[in-house]
Amino acid sequence: MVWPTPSRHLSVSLRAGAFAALAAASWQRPQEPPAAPPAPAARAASGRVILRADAAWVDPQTRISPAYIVVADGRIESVQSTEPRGPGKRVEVRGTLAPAIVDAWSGLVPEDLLQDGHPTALHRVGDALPVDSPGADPELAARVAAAFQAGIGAAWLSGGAGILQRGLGTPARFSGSDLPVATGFEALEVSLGSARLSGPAALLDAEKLAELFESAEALRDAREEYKEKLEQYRKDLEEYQKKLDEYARKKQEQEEKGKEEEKKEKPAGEKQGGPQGGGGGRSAMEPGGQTAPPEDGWQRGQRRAQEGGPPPQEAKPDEARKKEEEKKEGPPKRPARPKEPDRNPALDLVLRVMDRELAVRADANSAADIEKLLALRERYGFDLVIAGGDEAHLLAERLADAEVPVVLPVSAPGSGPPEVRLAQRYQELRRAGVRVALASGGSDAGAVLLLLRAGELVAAGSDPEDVWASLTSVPAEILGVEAGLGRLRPGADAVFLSFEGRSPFDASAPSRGFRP
Amino acid sequence: MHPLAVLALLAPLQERAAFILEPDAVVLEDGKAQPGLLVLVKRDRILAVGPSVPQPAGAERWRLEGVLAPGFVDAFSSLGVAGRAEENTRTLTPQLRAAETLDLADPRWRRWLAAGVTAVHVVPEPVNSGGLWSVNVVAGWAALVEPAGSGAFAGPGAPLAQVADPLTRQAFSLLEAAFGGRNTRAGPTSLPGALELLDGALLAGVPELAQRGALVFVDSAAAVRAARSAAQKHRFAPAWIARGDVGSYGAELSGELVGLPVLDEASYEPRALETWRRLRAAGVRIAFGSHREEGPPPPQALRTTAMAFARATGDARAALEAVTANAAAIAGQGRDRGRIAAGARADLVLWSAHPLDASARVKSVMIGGRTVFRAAPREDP
Repeated sequence: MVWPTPSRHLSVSLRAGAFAALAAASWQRPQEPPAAPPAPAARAASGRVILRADAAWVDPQTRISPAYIVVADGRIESVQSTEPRGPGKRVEVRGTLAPAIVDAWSGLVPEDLLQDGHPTALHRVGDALPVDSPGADPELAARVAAAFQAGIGAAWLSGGAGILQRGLGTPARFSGSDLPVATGFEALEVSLGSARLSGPAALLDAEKLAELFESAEALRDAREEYKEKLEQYRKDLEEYQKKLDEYARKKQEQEEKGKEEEKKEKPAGEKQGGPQGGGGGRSAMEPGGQTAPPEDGWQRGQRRAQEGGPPPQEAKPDEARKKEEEKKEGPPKRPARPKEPDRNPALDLVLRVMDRELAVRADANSAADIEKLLALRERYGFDLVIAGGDEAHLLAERLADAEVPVVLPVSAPGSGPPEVRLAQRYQELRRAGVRVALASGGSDAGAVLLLLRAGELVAAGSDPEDVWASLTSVPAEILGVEAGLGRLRPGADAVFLSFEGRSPFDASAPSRGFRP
Repeated sequence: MHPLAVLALLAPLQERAAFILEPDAVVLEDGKAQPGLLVLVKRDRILAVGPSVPQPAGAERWRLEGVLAPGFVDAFSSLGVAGRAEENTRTLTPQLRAAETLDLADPRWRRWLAAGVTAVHVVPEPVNSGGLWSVNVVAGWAALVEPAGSGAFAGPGAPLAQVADPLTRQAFSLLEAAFGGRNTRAGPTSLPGALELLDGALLAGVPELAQRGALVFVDSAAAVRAARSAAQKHRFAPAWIARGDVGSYGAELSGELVGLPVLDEASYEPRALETWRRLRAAGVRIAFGSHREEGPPPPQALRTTAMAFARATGDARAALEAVTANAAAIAGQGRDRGRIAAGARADLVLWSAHPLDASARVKSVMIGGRTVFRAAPREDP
């Protein structure tokens, strides 16, 4: 049987009998997918599985037919067009296997996260995900299962919208329990006023974001300054300690000197007025026979000062006074500890962005906001992704020059003027060389429409390889999960889209998510 | 298109000889694109379909690159209506004709034609907009409209649509959600009241009801049961238009022909898809229509809904029927339209691939054996 080449335009239903004739007796047909998601144990890959499909879309540019994909422990071991050797359970898959779609903007988060209209800037979506255990969140699992059946194998999970900083979104794979598991690179999410928000958040603009960066920069400067001051403080403290020790030593010396002088003066004092000889005479004795305590150097200095009396101190310059004080025999002044700048975890996140530890994912639609984001990026050098981008096509050249990718949602009610269709935005961005990921836009409806809208882009004249890349390899790169998703290659996750039509966009034939 | 076809198209319909179409594939009633089939057309009818067909004398054979499919039919719509198709001072308007409310120069006709729609079933409004009378219990006559060609395919100043049948079916409305509206000062405030009005109207006689049947707008199980009872009593066949939360009463429509509204962007929610699956499992024959309160959706809505239906249910055949044969049946035109079979009208669309393939595009449209639209040529990917 001659397998029709993928470039043919006909939608030809597959003739299962022909495969049966070709297949060796050891090939087993997979069971029909059950209505309800099966238990994870049944789906988890155990041992080595050799999938045989009519064809495979290895990556956006590469097709092979037939296709043999070896899977071991949930990962692809090899992809080839000749039957591999070695042990393994052989499974025949009707149709074509392709990498599962990566949804660069998904709403597959727990319901309470979606309801939270005011997440804090420190909100981490990854922390809000349920534990990957069957039954942990049945509602979320049902939605993930539906998305998987629509061919989506991984997604970007956003926090709730509503404020400028929405916290840290995260990419996530889907586990065997149909739950999202955070993986890949987090990013700081921001929503600018032109994004699809309502209420006060809709009034936010790029200027406020710029202020945030400036505040973070000021905080960094303040911390640098604090470090320097702290260092100086330590030195001053050492110096102070030395002076204190010196002061104590001098004081000790003075005391001892004073005592010696006391001893010298004492006999003369005793001869003059006190009992003679015998040493028992009274000297300058206090009434009651008590001896006045010997005067220490400090007291002597004060007495002399009182007797002689230095002239009243006139107001002197600080420096002069300081010098004078230094001359006086007083303890040194302890240096003041510098005040540490207040902690600000929200600005710390922005600092991580500036240090390129975190990317920024900005939900922005107007050309003005996008332009300001580009300027901000140019100033601070962070990694930026634009999501939404209703007017991104107006800045296509600049986005391409800056290598800033754009995530276009296929289903976004109220997004921009109706005449600016998705096809126009997509084609203009791609023509300029911008990396574009197509996404569901955060709604279940979008997940249903994702492949259909992508197909319509092809009908409107977009290159089918380009469109397919925008669903797979490009979003995988943007989300930082390209090692495991977006292409069929050794080491990648064994999670597929299986379709029987001429392409994944062909709804006249079955297609589904598939995990051996 | 074959150069000879251009000459044939310019000939008046009545004088045109038969011609044979030889596309890459033909979409038959099973919903699959079958290669190697020929379609014999004479005047406005398909005479034969098969791997070989009779070759009448003088019949030209045209090789077509693409997949030939029946034209889409919009089962219930308000496309092209100037204002609203209703008389809002009375609740019983059997004489009202939707055909008389049409703007045949509305440019949307051409856009729908370009989207592969060859017939639109325009219905009267089921709910009164003025609020005086809450529902239009007997709303009037629906009409079938064909988009017409323009430019090179029509004479100067020709309308962009033509009424193919001004009296398809009467429309009755038992939409419970509309009873006793806030602004209602008159009209039925409950289902029993509406039934009483309907019964009276039917007893008084609705012209051609028995022959043509009626469209019945429902949104509850009670409405379905009541309408079914009225249909049995007065001996007419209802064609259902289901509104509201169909999932809550769809079981009442098991095995019936039911019109459902197309979904807009925000409506593709899990519940809607699950409702489709359950209706299909209950043997409901589904037809999609574009009628909605806020006016017609974009022209691609019919096809998008059909594709989403195919994806959600895994039943491409039912999906295609929903916008072709079943939709034509809602309009009482099930034998004539919505299928490529001997005896049916030659309302045909040439696609670059299967019509349910989202990457396919319309290449040309033929209505009644006459090409009325041809897309700008583009190299297929």
